[in-house]
Amino acid sequence: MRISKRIPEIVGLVALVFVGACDTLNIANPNDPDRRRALGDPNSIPSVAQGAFQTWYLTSQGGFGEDQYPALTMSVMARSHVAMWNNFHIRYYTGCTTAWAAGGYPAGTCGNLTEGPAYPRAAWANSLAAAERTQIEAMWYGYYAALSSANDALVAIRVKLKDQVPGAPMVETMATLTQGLALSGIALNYDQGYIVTDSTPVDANGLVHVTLKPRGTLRDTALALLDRAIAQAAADTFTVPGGPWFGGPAVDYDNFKVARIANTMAARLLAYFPRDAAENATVDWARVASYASKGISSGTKPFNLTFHQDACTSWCDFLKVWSNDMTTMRAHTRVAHMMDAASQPDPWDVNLNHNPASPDKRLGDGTYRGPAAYAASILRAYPDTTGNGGYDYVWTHTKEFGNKTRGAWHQSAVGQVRYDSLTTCGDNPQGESTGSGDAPMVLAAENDLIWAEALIRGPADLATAAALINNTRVGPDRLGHARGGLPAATAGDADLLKKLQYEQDVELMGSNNAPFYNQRRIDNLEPLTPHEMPVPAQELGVLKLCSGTCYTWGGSSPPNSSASAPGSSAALLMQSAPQIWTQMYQARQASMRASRLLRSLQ
Amino acid sequence: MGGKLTKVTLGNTGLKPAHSGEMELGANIDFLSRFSLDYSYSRKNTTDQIILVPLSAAAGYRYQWQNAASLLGKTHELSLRVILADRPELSWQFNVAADRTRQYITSLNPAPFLTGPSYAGSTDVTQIFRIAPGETFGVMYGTRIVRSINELYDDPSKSPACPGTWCPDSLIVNEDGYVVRKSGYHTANEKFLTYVNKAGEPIVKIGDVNPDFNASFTSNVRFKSFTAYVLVDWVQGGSIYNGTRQWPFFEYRDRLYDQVSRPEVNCGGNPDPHCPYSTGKKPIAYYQGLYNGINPIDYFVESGTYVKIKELNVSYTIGRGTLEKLGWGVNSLRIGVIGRNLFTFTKYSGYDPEVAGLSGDPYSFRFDGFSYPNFRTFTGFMEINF
Repeated sequence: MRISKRIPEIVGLVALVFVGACDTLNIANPNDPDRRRALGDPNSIPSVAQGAFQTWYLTSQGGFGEDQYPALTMSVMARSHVAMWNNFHIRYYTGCTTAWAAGGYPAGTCGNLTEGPAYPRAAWANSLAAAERTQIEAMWYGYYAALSSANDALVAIRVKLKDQVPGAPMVETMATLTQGLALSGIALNYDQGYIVTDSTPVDANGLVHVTLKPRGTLRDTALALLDRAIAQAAADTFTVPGGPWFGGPAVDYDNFKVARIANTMAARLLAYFPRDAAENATVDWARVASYASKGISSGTKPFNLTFHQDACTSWCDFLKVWSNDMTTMRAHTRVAHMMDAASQPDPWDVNLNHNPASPDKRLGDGTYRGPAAYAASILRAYPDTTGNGGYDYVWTHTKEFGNKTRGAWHQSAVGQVRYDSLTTCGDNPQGESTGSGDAPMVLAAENDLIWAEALIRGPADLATAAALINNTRVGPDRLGHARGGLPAATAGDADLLKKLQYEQDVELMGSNNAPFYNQRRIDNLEPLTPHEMPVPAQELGVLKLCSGTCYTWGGSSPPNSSASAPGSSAALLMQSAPQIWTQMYQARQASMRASRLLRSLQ
Repeated sequence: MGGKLTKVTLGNTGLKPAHSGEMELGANIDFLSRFSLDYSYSRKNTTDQIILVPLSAAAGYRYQWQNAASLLGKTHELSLRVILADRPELSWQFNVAADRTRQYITSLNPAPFLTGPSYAGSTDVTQIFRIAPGETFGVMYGTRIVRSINELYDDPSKSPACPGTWCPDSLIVNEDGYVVRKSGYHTANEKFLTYVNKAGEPIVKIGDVNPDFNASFTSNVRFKSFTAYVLVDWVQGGSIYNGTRQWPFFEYRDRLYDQVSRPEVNCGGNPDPHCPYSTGKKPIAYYQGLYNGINPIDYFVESGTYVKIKELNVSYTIGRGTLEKLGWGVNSLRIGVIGRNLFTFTKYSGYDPEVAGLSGDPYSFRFDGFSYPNFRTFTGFMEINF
């Protein structure tokens, strides 16, 4: 606005401006399918179920990338792998202890303190403002996203579209399996969570009315869903095509294999659920043995649960990508020491470390069985010229890696090459070079070891247990690969359980989170290490239960929510959450009713 | 993900436009034939503000755009135009424009939350901007270093009682102005203490990106055949978070670690591990504490004040008469040079205080996170009129 010169000197003008706009944002965009249309098309339901299954896989193995993924951190927390980097907040969460007699370290695990000052293990940083919070968000939101999509597919098949969905029996079984797997992921890692299934009421906006349940309830519900998937697989005949479900055409599974996968995953859930040794003693090992005896290593054609990689173009097994890169992560000295105590000191001491001569052929003399040029330029290892090179592990003459000032306990001279990636990323079993090989997520050997443990800790069958352990301790394994070459374990061995745990550490490293679960349930995690995760701060913020720094596990808090170490704040949370959630739900319902009323008056 | 459906953001069929009501007051004064002054004030109430809010995991989705907030915006704008000379051989105009804007969140349906930005290849890691009722749009929250002993006792868990763990006699303000324990002062164990507010919260307000005001100065001068144009920007106040500087602290990559200005100490033959720090040099761990796990900390909150010569354009026009003598058949020829981003006057320690919002922050609050500085450019030009 402008005043002409006819109005001299000081003049003011008041203007009131009203701004208006259309009262709708409902603009049709036929190229952008919304949720309602996507779930209303029978032909899209298989894709919804595939998305759910693959979301579960990527959440478990880190295929979403970035820094949110916790499995690498948990592997170092378990002293399975080791890294000095802070990617994935590994360094933040993996301090050492200067005294821990119970762990067999009277002088502590920190090693040579001239290589970086010691700092203790930290609690999960459960604060909205903490960058480290992302490690406790990834599985929470990932598994619930998988569960939600599986529920969508099942609602479509069981309620809305029924027989119109192509391949409905197979899709229904896989979606049910995904429900069980996703809830298993929450039960294994969090102290509590929601139970949301296809039978949970959903409001008009797709929101559900649920309350937080203790992890034991989550486990039991997950087991019921896995049982249901097993029953469905037995009732139908189908083949799950590898391409859309497992990433590659060569990886497909018939209904019998799907049932065996579900059995193995149920055995894993029961066996890995305990947060400490006290809980481990209460596991229903007979039930574990029952599941495992019908799992992926049982019967005449054992198999690994395998996913085909695409060199991280759209997905990959991030755990293997990072953990099998010797410039990034290596085998922890705890495990290296187990394979060759004479050459691999634990805690780390560069002066006492030298080239190994392990009786375990998975390490052997530490030379590399692959291309000599790769050994020299990348691994900085010696090429195998005698046939004694390790099948899975390599010793590097560049004994220390990365920044030594970050702590001696982050050092190691032994790296895992079992899933080595020679070029870009992705799993390359036995040296495949394209980064697009088939990556085992759960080895048949893992089922064997769970089965063997059940036969040791539960109704005893030590002879069978020893035979199962020997599949990898001696080899060849269930798939015919040469393994440890160690003297066979026998039913009479007083240290049969210890031999089993050796296999858990050496054979299962890098396949999935099993090393963390196995270490926590025998009280072998470092002091102050959290044994489970709290409900993330962002979730608690949505529930209006916490607006800043929220309850947590580990550090100065108890390590977990077990009966032996109760957490009062978590108990309070359990009581408050349902009420808060109900209030939010009721408020939203009232708002919707008001909106409908207003629209009807227009 | 991989061509498959993965739930991230839940659609919202109930989403409606935000509604804004704005009142604007303005005045204009022209005086002494050479001056023109404009002022306006606007007050804008926005309801049903559309924001991206986090959802419960039970929904299966992480986020949803919702009509979830009300905002109050207040803006002052002032401009002054001065004609300093207006003669045939000389003309000179000078303009100043300044503004100040504040937006307040008056209501918010979801619980308060922190958001953005993404930088250095990491998504959804650092969350620094707080969205909460009563807050200014653009406030930063994070860790604050304690700089006076008294403020330490805001923390309800700390008592100044003596003898006691937090007795004032056990504390000292060190060379950096940070409160440390006397027992650790000038030793290998020296560490700064971090603030906890009266509510027991360790994450507190550490800055506000909003400048006190923005101003720009432009001037056009023509003297015979010479013309010149200059644009100067002035941003006063407001904070910038220097994430670019914080990131390398993890790798000990900052001039702060150098400590050349601190008094040297000779520890030859002295086995005391604290000897190297006895004159005030700090251990590496002390400065690495500023990395703070890449979480926001007030050390990296800096004043965003700057004055920048944004553009200088100088040209000379050769008239028709001269060109006809040369016989080029050209009416006029103008040659000149334009320089942009020529000089910046600032105390900001990063490359360039003129930073914008980054991806991962739907609100685009300014943040220094490895963005390229504005390049200094020089452009020569020649304009021919036939």
